[in-house]
Amino acid sequence: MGWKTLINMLDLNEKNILITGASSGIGRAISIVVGKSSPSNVILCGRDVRRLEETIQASGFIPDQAKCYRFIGDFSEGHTIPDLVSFIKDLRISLDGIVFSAGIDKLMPFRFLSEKILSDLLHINTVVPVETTRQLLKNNLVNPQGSIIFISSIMGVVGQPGQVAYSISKGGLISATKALALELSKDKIRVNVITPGIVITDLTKKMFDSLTPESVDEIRKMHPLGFGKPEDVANFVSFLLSDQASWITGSTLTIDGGYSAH
Amino acid sequence: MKTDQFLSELHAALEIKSLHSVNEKTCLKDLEEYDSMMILGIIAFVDEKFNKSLTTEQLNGITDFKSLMDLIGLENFD
Repeated sequence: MGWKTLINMLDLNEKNILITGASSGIGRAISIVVGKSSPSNVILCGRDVRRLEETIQASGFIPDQAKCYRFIGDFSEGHTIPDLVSFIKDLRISLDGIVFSAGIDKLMPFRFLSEKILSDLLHINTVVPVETTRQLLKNNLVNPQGSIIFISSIMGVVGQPGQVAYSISKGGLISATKALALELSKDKIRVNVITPGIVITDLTKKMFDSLTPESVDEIRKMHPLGFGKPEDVANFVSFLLSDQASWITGSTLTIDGGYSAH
Repeated sequence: MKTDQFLSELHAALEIKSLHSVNEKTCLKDLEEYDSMMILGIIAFVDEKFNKSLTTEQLNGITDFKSLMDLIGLENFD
């Protein structure tokens, strides 16, 4: 199937989309794919101004066809969620799609895991996406038939040494998805979660730097199809945002190159 | 921190079962338990006890526990 045909199938025409973690990794790739799918308005959130601008350049937004708004913020700061909600309200935009891709990782043997590290991961990876969703809904900023997507991790499904905190934080999104999907079904708002395997991003490269080459090789061998690329996840996210996925909700969708098939 | 205390606490924290105890000349990479998790454990232990951040790259360059203590800084030991 050609790229143009695929894009036509994933038409996001006249949709307003919010993407967090847009300046790097999977969030960046999602922003680029969404940008090429004819949305009306896209709000890209990130911490890094320069990298967010690079994402926007790569997305090829055509000003008279789609408006792209930048929100610079750090979700570790308490005011960021209300600031984001106010930002969207001021734009007078109601959202058809939301992708929560912002997240952090901390590889740490369990015996050394501090309450602060656990709390930090839970805050960014679990509380922020859920609380942001709650505030957007409370302020009537999500349209009926909208699509909410949490980017979790295969670590939220299976375990690995050193990943207890990360697994807890990403696994929480899976549970939240099921409950939220049922609660929002009356408005036909779909909620789904994606659990990617290891995708090569700056975050995973940083993780690999803290491992021995033998460990990295061992992890690679656990992925029958090799490590993933951000685009592998982005294409599927775009599908979930589209009307073609109108009967999918409450689902955990694994994209992991066969990692969890063992 | 006394050297004996450091080695004893680190031995316990890293759950080294292959040896009853370690000394300055014990080679880390010869330990059965040596892997990425042990390296991360050492980094966390040093951060907790000495408020010093080590990197995996630095630890890849050490040999025995004495070289680890050199990395931490001998001024930190009695």
